[in-house]
Amino acid sequence: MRTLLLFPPQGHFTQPYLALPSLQAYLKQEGFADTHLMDANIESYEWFLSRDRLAKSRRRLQEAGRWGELEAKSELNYSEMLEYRSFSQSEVSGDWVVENIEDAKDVLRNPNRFYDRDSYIRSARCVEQGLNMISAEHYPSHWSAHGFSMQHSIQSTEQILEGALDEKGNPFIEFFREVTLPKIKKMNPDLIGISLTYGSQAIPAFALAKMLKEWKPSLHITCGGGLLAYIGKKMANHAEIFDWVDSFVLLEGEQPLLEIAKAIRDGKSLDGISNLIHRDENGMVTIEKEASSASIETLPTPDFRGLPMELYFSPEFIVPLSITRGCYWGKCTFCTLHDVIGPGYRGRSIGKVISDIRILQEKYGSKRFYFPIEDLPPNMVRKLPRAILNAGLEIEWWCDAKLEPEIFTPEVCAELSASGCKRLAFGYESASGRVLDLMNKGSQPNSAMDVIRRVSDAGISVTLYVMVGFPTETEEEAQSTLETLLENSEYFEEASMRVFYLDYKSEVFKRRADFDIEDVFDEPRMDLQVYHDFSTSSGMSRIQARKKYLQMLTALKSHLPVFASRNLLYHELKSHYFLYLARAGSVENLLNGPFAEKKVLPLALKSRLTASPALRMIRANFDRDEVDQAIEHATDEITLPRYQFDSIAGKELIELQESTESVQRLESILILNEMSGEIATISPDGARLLRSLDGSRTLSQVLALYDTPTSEIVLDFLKHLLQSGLIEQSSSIGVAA
Amino acid sequence: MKKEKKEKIKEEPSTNVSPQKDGSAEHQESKETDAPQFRYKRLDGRDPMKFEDVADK
Repeated sequence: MRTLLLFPPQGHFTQPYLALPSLQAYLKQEGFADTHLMDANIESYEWFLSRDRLAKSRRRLQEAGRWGELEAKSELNYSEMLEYRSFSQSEVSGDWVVENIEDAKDVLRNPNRFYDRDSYIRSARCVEQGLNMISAEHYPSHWSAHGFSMQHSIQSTEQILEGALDEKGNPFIEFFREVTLPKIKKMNPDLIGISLTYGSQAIPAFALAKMLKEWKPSLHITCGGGLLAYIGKKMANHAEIFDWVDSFVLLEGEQPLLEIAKAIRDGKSLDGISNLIHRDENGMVTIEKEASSASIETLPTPDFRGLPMELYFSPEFIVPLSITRGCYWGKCTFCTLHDVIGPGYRGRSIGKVISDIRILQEKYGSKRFYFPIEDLPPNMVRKLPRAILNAGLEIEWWCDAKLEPEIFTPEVCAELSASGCKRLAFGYESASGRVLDLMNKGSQPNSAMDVIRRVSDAGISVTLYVMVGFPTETEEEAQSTLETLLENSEYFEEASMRVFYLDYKSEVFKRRADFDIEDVFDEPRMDLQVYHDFSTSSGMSRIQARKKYLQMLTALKSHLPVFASRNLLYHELKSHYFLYLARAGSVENLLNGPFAEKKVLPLALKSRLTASPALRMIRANFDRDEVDQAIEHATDEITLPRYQFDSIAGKELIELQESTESVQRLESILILNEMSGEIATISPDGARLLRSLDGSRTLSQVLALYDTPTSEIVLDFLKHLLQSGLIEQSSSIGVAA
Repeated sequence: MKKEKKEKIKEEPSTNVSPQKDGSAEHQESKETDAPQFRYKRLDGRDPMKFEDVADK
């Protein structure tokens, strides 16, 4: 009896996800020793982001000739702008990406290179450009570090299955055929468990399931994971889905997966296995009863064996360890975790947690841990740090926590810091006591900010979750949240923001009238819809909330150095930030060290100016900045949730085509700076000037070529070029311009 | 992914500004009547649809 547990694309690329190692350990403990893990997600990054595959992509794009067709147009409509953005990017950076991708991956994996910020940023950009090239090849599909979307919506069963068969738009079909399927055939499992955590995995997972069923019809394929808590039952309304997979596991996977394995081994039916949806022998879809929540005290330590640890884009393994399940508070009206994880909150004893940490540290030699929990419960806030210190464990760790003024005393915060806690993420949400009460957060703004200051003073980096547009929230209340955050910006490093979305499983949805919600809008033919647009009789409209969110995001970004893209291109990839933080030792060291703003000497009149030798330029008939701005503003008022990574398609796309003004031709030059991986657009006159800078002229000689008003503009232009590394100046003692 | 909104670096010069004086071959390509334009804008290449936070954890 051979079992394979598989994590399909698309997820992030920094670390393995915890669910499958937990299940592997459990199955092995229960006697299913022939259990294996496969992370097809990280393998897909490795395969696509390779020199050979990207060179093929580059050739395919050139042969398809779409860039030339777009360049020949007199104006671009909305969808052409999207194409233009993607294809122009590939055109200017394609060769550089092909030449540098292997080195870029090495930087992201090599501890001796990762912590050089300039190398890190250049490499992250190279990876980003590589994914853009694969996306352009499969346009309009879009793959980035943060998501994968196709023109097929994942809010519709029908469209998921269409996307799973779309050879042209679904890059993973080729990958599965070339890489995953041959490996699985060789392994020849009897049971495959596919983990579905992110919406972006849905279409690739069903594409793989289809291929597996065609290869081996007797293979039992079960899908489990957080996503199914939302869509599993709805999907099961389509009996034909069980031609693709055999069963869905809802909520916690350990017990149902074990029972499935036993049933297959013993040739028995799946009837009666709790938390399971399956089609019985008569062709009837059965939703089995829900199991009561399991104790996590007796679960084994996660087993990561079989995962390709060397492939993750991270120089160190940050070990994920789940020390609780569920949320001890569990009352927030917007939250749906009780329906996703399973009922009830359960903690693992501190003794077990310490034992887990020791086992995993010895096995993987890693000092870094992440506890993927909803919030660190009060008993652990108080006792875990002391237990870590008493056990002599030298680790650094981070997790989410709840703002509890009584618990996070200065003494407790000091001990947390001493135990290696480098970062805590809190749900702050709002500075309005009224809104917090409606959310039933169990916190108040002033005492919450006291906790934040105490934690920060103890040397722990703070991230705050902030929500905009909770039903009835006024613009003044949101503004007050922004002002409070800006006044206290020295006490936190990141704000993780989102617009409130109405989730059909949330308390807000169930008691809509209590939150002044008047109408809830369904998307036609979207049978898997999770989030709903809505209107309220008080507070901000959805569009106002969206605009306020954008405004707050811009304001906070400009005040928070960690937020600034100059430091961490992928600041959402929290493990990279955590690694930099742990390496620097403190936020202060980080901001004064690797994240310090680069000092560029001011332009001096006697300095000789030279264009950087590492520039690639292409001529373009449209100005990319105009295109980008138009795309960005076109979606300013779109209030549909983005959480599920859907592309804009169908009705919305048609509306955007009609409402977005076309972009007219404006000749420009796209520049790639190979030293930074940064792409910029400049005017043709600017490019001519840049090309002419060969070190033979000083700044004052260059400026003398222009009359007074123009020379001021040229000086400003050159300052930006210098700042962005497009030109260099010879060292010179002279008068600053 | 969050997209930083960037300020326009400089308004383009009005059309009655005279062209540059260096007379180099490249610069002569500018139309006599147009002032030279020196636009610079950094593109961060990110998808503006993805500016809401996505947990990596």
